[in-house]
Amino acid sequence: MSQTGSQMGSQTGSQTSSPAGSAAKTILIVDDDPDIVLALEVMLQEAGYAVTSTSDGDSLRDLASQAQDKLPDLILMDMLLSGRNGREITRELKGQEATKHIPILMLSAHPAAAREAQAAGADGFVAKPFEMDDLLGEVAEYLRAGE
Amino acid sequence: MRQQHGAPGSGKSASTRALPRAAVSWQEKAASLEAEIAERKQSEHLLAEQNRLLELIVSGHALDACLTELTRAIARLQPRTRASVLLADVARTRFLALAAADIAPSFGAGLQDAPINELAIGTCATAVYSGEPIACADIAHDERWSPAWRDLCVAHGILACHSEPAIGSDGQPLASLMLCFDEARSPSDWERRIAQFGAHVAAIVIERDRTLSRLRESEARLTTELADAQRLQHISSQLIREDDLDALYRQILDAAVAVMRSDMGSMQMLNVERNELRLLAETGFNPASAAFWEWVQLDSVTSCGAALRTGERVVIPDIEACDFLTGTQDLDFYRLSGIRAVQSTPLVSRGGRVVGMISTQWRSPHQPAARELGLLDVLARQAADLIERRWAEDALHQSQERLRVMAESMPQKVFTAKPNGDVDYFNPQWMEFTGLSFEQMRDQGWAQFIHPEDVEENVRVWQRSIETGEPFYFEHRFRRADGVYRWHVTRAVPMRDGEGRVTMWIGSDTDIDEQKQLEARKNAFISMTSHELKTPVTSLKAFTQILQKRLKQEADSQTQLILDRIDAQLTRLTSLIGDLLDMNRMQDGTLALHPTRFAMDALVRETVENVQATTTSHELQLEGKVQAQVEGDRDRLGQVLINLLTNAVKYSPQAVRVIVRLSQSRDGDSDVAPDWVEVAVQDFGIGIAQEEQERIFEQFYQVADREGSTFPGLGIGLHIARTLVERHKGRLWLESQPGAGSTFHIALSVAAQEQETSYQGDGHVPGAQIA
Repeated sequence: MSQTGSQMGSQTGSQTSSPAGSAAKTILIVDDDPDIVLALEVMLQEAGYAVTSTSDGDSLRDLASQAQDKLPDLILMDMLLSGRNGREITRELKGQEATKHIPILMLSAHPAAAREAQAAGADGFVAKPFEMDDLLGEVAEYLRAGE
Repeated sequence: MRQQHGAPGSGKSASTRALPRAAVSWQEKAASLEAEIAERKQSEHLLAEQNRLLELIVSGHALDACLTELTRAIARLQPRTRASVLLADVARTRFLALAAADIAPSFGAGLQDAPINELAIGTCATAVYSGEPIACADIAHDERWSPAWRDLCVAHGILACHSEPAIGSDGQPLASLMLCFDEARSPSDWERRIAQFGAHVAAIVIERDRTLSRLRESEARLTTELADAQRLQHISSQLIREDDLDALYRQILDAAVAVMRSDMGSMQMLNVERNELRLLAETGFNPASAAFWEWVQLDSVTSCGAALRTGERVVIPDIEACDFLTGTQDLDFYRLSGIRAVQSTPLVSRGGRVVGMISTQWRSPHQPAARELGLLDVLARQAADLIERRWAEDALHQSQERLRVMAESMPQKVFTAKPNGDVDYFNPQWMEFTGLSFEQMRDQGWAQFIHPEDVEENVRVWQRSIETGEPFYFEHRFRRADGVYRWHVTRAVPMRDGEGRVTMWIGSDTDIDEQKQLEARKNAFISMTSHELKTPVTSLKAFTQILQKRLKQEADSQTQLILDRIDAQLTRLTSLIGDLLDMNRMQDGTLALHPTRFAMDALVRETVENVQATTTSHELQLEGKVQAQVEGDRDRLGQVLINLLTNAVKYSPQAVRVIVRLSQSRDGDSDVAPDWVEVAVQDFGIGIAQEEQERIFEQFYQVADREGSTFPGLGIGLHIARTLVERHKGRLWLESQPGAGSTFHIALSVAAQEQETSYQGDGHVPGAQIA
C-alpha cells in the first residue's frame, strides 16, 4: 500500500494517464479475458499508471520495432492466452535486445505456473485470483527495480 | 562222551569181575581163562560193531538205516536173539516207529502210536517211561503187560525180552532197545551188555538225527524269514520310489499273502463319508466274490467288519466253528468265496485312526502263526502310511483342483510362483491377454510383456517381496497381444507352511486401465475446472476490491460491509478451489513441496493473526513458544494450520475462543535438543465421536452435527492437511470429546542443525523451558 500510495493519481478510465509530478509509467496488460483486463486497468490507473492492453498476443510481435519511448515500462502477461502462449511471447521479448529490459510480471491461475514463468524468463509472478494490494505492490517493486 | 565211556567201561567191568574168582582150581582157572578169552573176543566184536555203526552214523546215513543196522549188529553179536529199536516221540508220550531188521513189519505196525505211560503197554513202554531197563522172562505168562502186547510178541515168536532205554544227553529216554528171545528165559549178563551197547548207539543215532533235523528246520525257518524280510524290505524301497499307489497296494497285498501263506488276500480303504471299507486290491478271489467284497459296511458280521468296529485284529481259524458267523448270510458268502479261515488286520494311521484293512483268507482251517502276524503288522503299517499318503494327496489334489477351477473361472489374471519368485502357473486369461503360449510366458518370464518404463521398479519391488516375504503390490502396464499396453494392478501373497516358510506365491492381476484413464480424465477435468473457476473469481475479486477502495472514501458503511463479505466469500471460494486442486495433485502425484528452514513460532503467529482477521466470532489465543526451526514447505504447513484454525472456528459455533498451543517434546532421554515441535489447536465445539476420529481424515468425509446436517465444505481439508503433514514426516492427530470439543495436534521434527547457533543470541537454551 505504502509503495503505491505516493503514485496514486486521480485520473481514471483513459488509455493514458500521467501520475502527479513526473511522466506516468506505462503498463501493458496482455490478457484475453476482457473483465480481467478491465479490472486491472481500473486498479492500475487509479494507482496512477498509464495503461494499455491487448488480448492478442501476436500483436506484441512488432513491439521490438517500435520506438523506445513507445515501449511499456512493465508488462502484465497472462500465461495462457487463447492465441499464443504467454510463455512463448515472454521468451521472444526477453530474447530481443529492444525489449529484454522490460520487466514482465506473469499472471496465472495455474498452480504450477510460478516455476514455468521463471523458466520462460518472466521477472515476477502473481497468482490469480490476487489481492489488489499484492498486485500493486509487485508492480511498484518491479518498476522501481527497472529504473 | 557217554558212548566212549560206556562201551570200553563195560569191557573193563567184565574183566575186573573175574578177579574174585581167582585162586581156584586149574580146571576152573582154565574155564575162567576160556571164558575170559571168549569175553574178550566178544568185547572185540562189540568194539568192531560199534566202530562200524559209528562210521555209518558219521557218514550221514538216515536214522532208520542206522537203527536197522544196529539191530543187525546185535543179532551178529548174539546169535538167536533179535533186536528192535522203538522210537519215542519228543514228548515221550507215544511210540513213533520201530526199526528191526529181523522182525516182521507187522510187529512195528502193532506198536505204532502205542502210548508211553504208567499203564505199561509193554516192556519198552515201561523202560522208556521209567528210564530203567526191564526184562520179561516169559511174555506169554507175565500179567504185568497188556494182553495185546503179549499176543503181538507171541505172534512174532518173541517169548522173552529185555528192554533197555536209550538215554539222551539230557538224561531223558529217547527210545527203547529190545532184545527178543525165542524161548522163555532171562537175559544173560552179556545180553544185558549188548542191550546197553545197543541203547547207547541208538541214543547217539537218535540225538544226532534230532539235532540234524532241528538244524534243518531252523535253516528252513531262517530261509523263510529271510525271504519274508526281503519281501518287506523290497516293499519299503518300493514305497519310497514308486508313485503308482495302486501298484503298491498290489505289492503289499502280494507280500501279505506270501508271508501269511494264505490262498487269498484283500486290502481295503476306509471311505470316511460312508464309513465303509472299499476294496483296493484283492488276489485269489473269483470275480463274483470280489464284487461282493467291493464294499463292506461297519455293521457287517465279517471279520473285517468286526475288526473295523473294534480296531483290533480278528482271526477266524475256521468259519464253520465261528460263533458270530453262525447262521449269517456272510457265512454263506465266505463259503461261496471258498474261504474257510480268515484274518483281518486293521490298518492304523500314525494318528491312531483306522484307515483300512488287510485280510488274508485260506481255503482250509488255519491258525496263522504269531511270527507271520508280526510280519503282517509291518506290512499293515506301510499300507496305512500309503493310504494316509493317498488321502493327503487326494486332499492336496482336490484343493489344487479347486484353486485351478477358481483361477480359470475368474476374470482376473492369476499366477503362482515358486518361493524363489519363478512363476510356474499362469491361468488361461494370461495367455489370452498376451497372446503367448504358457511355455513362452514361463520360459521367457513376465518381464517381456511389462512396459519398459515399469520393468526396473517392478523387478526391484518383486525381489524385495521374495526376500522379505511381504505381500507384493504393484501397478504396471502389460502389453496385450495387439501391442497395446494396459494398466494392471498386481497383488501377490505368500503361502506358508507350518513353520512359516514360504511355499509359494499366489498372485492376481486386475486390469485397471479404464480406472486409470478415468482417473486421469477426472484429474484433468478437475484441474481444468478449477482453473476455469479461478478466472471469473479473479475478475470478481478485483472488481470487488476496486469498489471497496472507492467506497471507503465515501464512507457508506453498509455497502462497505456487503463488499467486505463478498470479498471474504471470494477468498473462501478461492481456497476451496485450491483444496480441490491440491487433492487432485496429491492423487496424480504432482504435488511438489518447496522446503525451506523457518521459525515455527513466526509461522504460527502469522497464521493465527491472518485467521483472526477473518473472524469476529472467536478469539484465537496463542500460548507458548518453541523457538525452534523446522524444515519444510512453509506455505503448505501454513495452509495446514489455516485449515485447522478455520475448522476450529467452523465446528464450534457456540464457543467464543480457540486455543493454539506451541510446545516441544523429546524422544527418549536426549537432553541436548528437543526432537519435536508440536502445535495444538483446541476448540470447544461439537467434538467428534470416537468412531469418527479416524474417518474424518478420509476424503470427502463430512462431519454431521447433532441434528444430522453437515457443515459446508468439500470434506477434503483434513485429508489434505494430514497428507501434507505426513509428507513432512510429521504427525497429525486429534483428541476429542463429543460436546466438549476437539484438539488437533501437529508434530513436526525440529530441524537438525544450526538451531543452537541461531538461538544462542537471545540467550535461550532450547530444552530449558521444558525442564
